[in-house]
Amino acid sequence: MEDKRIVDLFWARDERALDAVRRQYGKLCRTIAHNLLGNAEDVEECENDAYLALWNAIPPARPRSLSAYLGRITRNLAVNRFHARGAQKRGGELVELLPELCEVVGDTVEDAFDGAHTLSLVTAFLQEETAEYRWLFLRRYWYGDSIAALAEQSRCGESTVKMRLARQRERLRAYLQEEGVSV
Amino acid sequence: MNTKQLFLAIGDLDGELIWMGRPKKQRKPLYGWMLAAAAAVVVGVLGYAGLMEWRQQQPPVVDPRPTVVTTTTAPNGTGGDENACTVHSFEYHNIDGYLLDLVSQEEMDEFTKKYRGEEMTIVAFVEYFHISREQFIAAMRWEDALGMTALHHHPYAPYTYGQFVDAIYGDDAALTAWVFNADTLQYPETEDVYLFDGVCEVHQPEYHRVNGALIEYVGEEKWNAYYAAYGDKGEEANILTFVEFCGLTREEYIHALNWEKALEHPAPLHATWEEYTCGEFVDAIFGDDPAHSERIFAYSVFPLFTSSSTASTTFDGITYTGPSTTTTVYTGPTTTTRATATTHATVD
Repeated sequence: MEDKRIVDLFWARDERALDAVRRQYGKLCRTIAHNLLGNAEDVEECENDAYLALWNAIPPARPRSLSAYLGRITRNLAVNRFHARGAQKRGGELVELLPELCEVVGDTVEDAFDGAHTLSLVTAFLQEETAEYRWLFLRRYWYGDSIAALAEQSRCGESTVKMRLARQRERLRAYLQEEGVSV
Repeated sequence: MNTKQLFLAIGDLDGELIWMGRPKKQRKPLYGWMLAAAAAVVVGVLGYAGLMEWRQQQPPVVDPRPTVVTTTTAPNGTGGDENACTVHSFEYHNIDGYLLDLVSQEEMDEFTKKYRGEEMTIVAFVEYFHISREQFIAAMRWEDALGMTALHHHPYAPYTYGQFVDAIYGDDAALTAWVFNADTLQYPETEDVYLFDGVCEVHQPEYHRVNGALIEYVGEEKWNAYYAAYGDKGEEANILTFVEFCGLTREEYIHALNWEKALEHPAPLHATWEEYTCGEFVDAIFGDDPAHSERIFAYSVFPLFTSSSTASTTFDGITYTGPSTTTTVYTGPTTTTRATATTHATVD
């Protein structure tokens, strides 16, 4: 079913919209949640929370791409769930992803955070990257793929993937510094 | 900024960028394909030798119908298959799924064993399985479409569904040759141009697209003048300003797109095939009902990522690969008598 028709069902408050989303994007949702959390129980809860969040968001939202919209919701719920867990229960790639990103921005807490400005900076940075590096960054930090999975898809060794990601994080850090972000 | 904030900001990346992170297609190990290819070569050589021997034992096939010879150079085909017939249109060698539903898989297997390559045609199919004209029309669901231009065959098909049926069942060899000649699909010499730089979040892509046939119709000078005036105007670069700037009338628009017999037909445009007719689309451009225009041109489901303002003609799997050097023109029915199908037919 086309995204537009599914969104129309959401607007009509027709629960068939949830069935359609589950059929069409359930796998994407579970993959993202599993990549980030690594725990079957958390994945299932995250998925259900994502559908509920979608039901509450549409309307008034009318997303162009349900896959991107749902993926974004799922990521946010996954990272919130990650932080809510005790440290000893943590699994999934977020255990490694967040420390990797910590190399870029450190872990200072700012009083005010301009999300839109940060987004525009990251977008501009990625647009300057080559297609391969852009793909690598998105697979790692948006989809939450493991190093092993990236190595398999890139047909290279894990150490090569780690090195490429490390260099890319250095470039991102340098770019953010140039743009005046305190890192 | 802290780590979590950065992670969440990454999550807000635009869908277009996220799409660039889609999984890569995995290529299967080479050795499996090499083994399969080697086996195929051996089977092919043996089979070919046997086929040649069998063919030499068969009587020659005589085409009972007169040949229509053209001097056209066929276009390069519609993409992908170097072995595809370049003389006839795709529809000549294609058996529609609705027709396949009329026969069993075993029967179809027998048919394709006997009719291969150039011999595998829609004409041979209906003759082999004794499918009447009425059965054909009913199976294809064309009862109400015979007078419509066959746009769902191809956006540049100049014949109607009725002519297509006549080309199979009628007595007019010239019509048959014209309908099924690859040159008959009148590709515009100019590619479509998508004017909006990026993805318009308000309108569907057809709003910002100017069909190559329209550019050809108004001419290069007028097109260049329009593009100079509107090319970088964002939202203002659209089909409405184009027709107004070029002084294109409703009738001229319809004629340039060959839509005279397609107005009641679902519009086979790039964005969607089902939601409105060609006539409704024309009304959205030339009518005086803003609500109607808004409904037709409002953003709808479409592949999230389109090209930039340079030409793009690859949506829906249709690739415009360039024009033929000449076009065979159908000049009307003749009274040539067609032989009954006691042998399978071939058309040169």
